Amino acid sequence: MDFILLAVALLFLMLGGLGLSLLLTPKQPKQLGAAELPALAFLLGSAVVSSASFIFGFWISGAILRWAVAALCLSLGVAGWRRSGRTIKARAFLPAKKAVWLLLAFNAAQVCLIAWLNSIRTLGWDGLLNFEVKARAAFLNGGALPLEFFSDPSRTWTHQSYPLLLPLTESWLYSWLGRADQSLVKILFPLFFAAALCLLQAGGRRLAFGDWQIFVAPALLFTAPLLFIGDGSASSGYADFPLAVFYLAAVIWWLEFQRHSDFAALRLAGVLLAAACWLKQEGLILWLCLMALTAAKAFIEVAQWRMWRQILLAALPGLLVIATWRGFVRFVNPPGGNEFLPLGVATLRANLWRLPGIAEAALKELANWRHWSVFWAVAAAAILWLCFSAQRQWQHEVTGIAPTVLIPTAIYSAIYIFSIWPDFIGHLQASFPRLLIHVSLVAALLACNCSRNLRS
Amino acid sequence: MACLLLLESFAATGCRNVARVRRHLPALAAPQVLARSAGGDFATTDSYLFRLEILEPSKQVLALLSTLPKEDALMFIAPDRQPETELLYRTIASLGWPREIGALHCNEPSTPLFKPRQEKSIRRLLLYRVNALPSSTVLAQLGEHLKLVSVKEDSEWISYCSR
Repeated sequence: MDFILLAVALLFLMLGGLGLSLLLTPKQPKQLGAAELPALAFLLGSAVVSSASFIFGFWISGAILRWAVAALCLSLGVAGWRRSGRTIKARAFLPAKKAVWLLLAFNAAQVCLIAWLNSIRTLGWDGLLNFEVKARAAFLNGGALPLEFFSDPSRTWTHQSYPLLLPLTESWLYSWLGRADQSLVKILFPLFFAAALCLLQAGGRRLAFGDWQIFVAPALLFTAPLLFIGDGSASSGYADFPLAVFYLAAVIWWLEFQRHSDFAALRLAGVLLAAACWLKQEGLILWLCLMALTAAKAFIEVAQWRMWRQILLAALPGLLVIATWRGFVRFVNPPGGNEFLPLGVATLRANLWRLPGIAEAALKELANWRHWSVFWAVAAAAILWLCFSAQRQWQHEVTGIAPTVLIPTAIYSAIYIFSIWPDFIGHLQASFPRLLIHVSLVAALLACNCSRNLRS
Repeated sequence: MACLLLLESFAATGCRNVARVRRHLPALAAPQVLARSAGGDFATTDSYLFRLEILEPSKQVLALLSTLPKEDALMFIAPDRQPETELLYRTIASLGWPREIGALHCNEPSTPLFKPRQEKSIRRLLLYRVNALPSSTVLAQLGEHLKLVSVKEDSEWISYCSR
């Protein structure tokens, strides 16, 4: 019975996400591939279910809330289907070439590995004590977190000000299962991993990689132990790997906008980044980076008012999520302390001496064999190769992808200038590896791009 | 897509049976590996509560806490602030929702690490590897190390570590 209930919960989730994907993407039939449609459906589905649970939860709870969210998913699915006017053929999901069949087999093996790791390992510290604890509390409260939870001074260790995409998606599964189950809830994480692999394949297709180059990204992922096991990995129950998947999806659609000036693609990237802000606080940094890069492109191209209006439209979902969540946090006033000093020029000046130590520790982490093996070495080589490549067309593309890895990584490192910990290097060593996960999938796509360059 | 979901769900639910043979599988060599899961509703909390040295610790802790009124607040008192003790406290507190459970470590007795709301009266304590005072009443005991005791005065727990 459990697997039927789980499947129903996931089907509703994906139906909502599928509908939203179809509503947001352009109408042209080639815009969405067979690999990226399920991936987008899962990512946006989790965003729909969690945000609907949060909003509806102010007024309703229990079975009524569950069915209201299910009805919303169903409506979105129907609306998306009607708008796109598509029919899905089973053949569209079957690879036509031998190389793609092999890629499918390789990716399936990686998903099986992640599913196995998820089944034999428990949730990590944050997986239980930041996310599952909120999912359990929401489930016990009929699907919505009670306001008392946010102001409970004895639960500051749950980080009450963290956004709720992951806990409320977990709570959605609990509400269908009828109980909180710490084993079954881990089904979400192999699905996030599968979505990442689908998106890497789709990203390769969109960037017109050859049959064999699309193997580079999944093969590179396979070399990074921290993506598979350990704190922040796809088997730990943390939000870091899911955030990496949202960011990868946003970057792929953002690149689509860069290459074809397709504003619908930019809007979809904006929605995915808004979901990233709803998933984890660092989503705000990723949102800022991509929006700043978009504004820079518009500025360089001396864009007209129409383009600025489209950029503003793409930024709007993220702004809405950030403002709403910040307003809510200010309203509930959680009692927990902050891990960073207030950002300001005075603090920056006072702590600038930390910079060499931070740079050294960050580089050491990038070269940490036990976490990353050859992953960042290959990614760094790819960036350098593309930067010094004589072919201008590749340089053009590297200016597209490379900043989406380099800028967030630089900000993530620099943020420890403001660390409140006296041992700021200890702070960096404790959390920086997980922050690198956020940009790792995009780095894999970048390396894939380099392999195309080598071949040419 | 539906087939994939069904397969995934089936695989996830089937994991419980696999859990029986999991303990015989070799440990993976990886950084900061997570604890091994025995599967089930409390796969993670059971693993994190293993220091209580009792069977099905999550169920027993839940049963113990469910006897207390939901509005009640408790203090978890432990001798030190080792990471294992921290993990144990937070796991018990996560199972204890909606009861507010604060924490006091006896090597830092002047300031509780986490404290329930001021308006809540604290009449019960969870003592982990700490002996109960003769004046307090032991209401229940889980294994050798965890005791639920009641205290007469709200402030009695403050001086618990300074004996």
